[in-house]
Amino acid sequence: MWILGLVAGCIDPRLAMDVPVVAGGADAADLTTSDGGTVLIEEATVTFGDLRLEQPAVTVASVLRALSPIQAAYAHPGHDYPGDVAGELLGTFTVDLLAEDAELGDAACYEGDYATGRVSLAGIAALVAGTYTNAAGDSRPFRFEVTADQDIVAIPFETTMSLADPPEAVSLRFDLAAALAYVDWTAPDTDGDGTLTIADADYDNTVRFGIVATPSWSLAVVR
Amino acid sequence: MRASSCCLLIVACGGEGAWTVETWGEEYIEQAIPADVFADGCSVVYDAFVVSMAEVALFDGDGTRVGDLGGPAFYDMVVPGPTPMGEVGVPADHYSSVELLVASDPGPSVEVAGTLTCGAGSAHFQWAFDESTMYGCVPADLTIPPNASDSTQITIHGDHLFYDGLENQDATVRGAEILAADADADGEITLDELDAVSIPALGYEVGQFSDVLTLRQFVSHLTRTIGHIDGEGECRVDF
Repeated sequence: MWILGLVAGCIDPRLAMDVPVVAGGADAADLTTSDGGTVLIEEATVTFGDLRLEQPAVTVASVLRALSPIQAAYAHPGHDYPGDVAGELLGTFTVDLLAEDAELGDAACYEGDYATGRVSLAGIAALVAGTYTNAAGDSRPFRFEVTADQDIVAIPFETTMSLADPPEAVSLRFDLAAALAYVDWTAPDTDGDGTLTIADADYDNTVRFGIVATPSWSLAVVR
Repeated sequence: MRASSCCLLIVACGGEGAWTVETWGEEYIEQAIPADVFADGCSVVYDAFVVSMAEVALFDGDGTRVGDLGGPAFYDMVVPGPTPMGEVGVPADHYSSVELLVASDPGPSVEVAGTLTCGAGSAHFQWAFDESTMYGCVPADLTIPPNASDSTQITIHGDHLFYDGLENQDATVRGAEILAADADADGEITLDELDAVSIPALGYEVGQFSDVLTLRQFVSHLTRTIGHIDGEGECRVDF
């Protein structure tokens, strides 16, 4: 009967555990820009939902795999081939990137190998505000409110979790400096209101590019 | 389950069959990518769409290569197809792994030429790319019986070069930004002109590929997604 249950996918023999998830962001509130200026971050939050941790993707197709009720997910046009979800923390979370790490809750995780993770963005994904000062000393305030509706996929998470050596936590971090690295801070304040926003020049595109770029997000276990 | 049962029967019987392979660029490459495919109403007619297929191989369930089509071959997908690629004898079995290597030695891995039209504007392009790509494909139901054959089609998707995202599943096909890249307005969009267009400024999304920063790099990356199997069958690519 146990074997029949396995074949039917009704019984999962893996052991499950609860792993705390902590999240945080930039270590420094001051960034240096490529044009020699500086950015003082005064407010920075990211909002995301449903952290999912995925096993390594199946890479070798086999006749046995054809028997499996689980099929690989194929994206189009992107080629995102995640493994099966083996851990998750559902909900919507807003993380203050300038504050101490926040504990988001416990992720329910299976024992085993992990390869990637993903989070979902919906609505206002990031709010970043502060002051940009160019090399000549001229300052302009900025306030970027970035909306997005998509998953951040393939966040590297190569680790193994076991009940015998459980991790202290899973750490999800957002690298604000990396995310803002694509911004052309010399672009004009198009609407002339004195504050750089996503309504000005290319700021919407360049800020969003970094926010939704996978390398701005990272996952790691804390032991 | 039907295919698996069939496989067990075939394995019990043994013997050899034939794996036949063809390739096709579909109507998008042979004829045109019409305006209703593009989110911005552009359209494309290809003059050439040459793919260098260095290797096409079949693997059994143990990952053992049971057959391949031999050395590299070039296929111009604008030639009406499907075009036969070859046939090879393999053990009768049910198969679920086909690999396609698109490689640049000798010559480009992918070379395309055509005309992009957006409204009243149009420009020609001729681009050659050198990236090598291994596609790991899973045929839906490839069962080769003893003394008979089954086939695989390597399908090339010509619309992929115009997607506006590398990973987001809701990416759309767009042409206006590429047409606008013709900075000197001479009617020829060059790779150098694509290289001068910033992807972050354009707003295209790259997901995990944040090293893709110019439109040339973006289109070059998309050339590594054109390989499919049996029409819409997806192939895995490890970038």
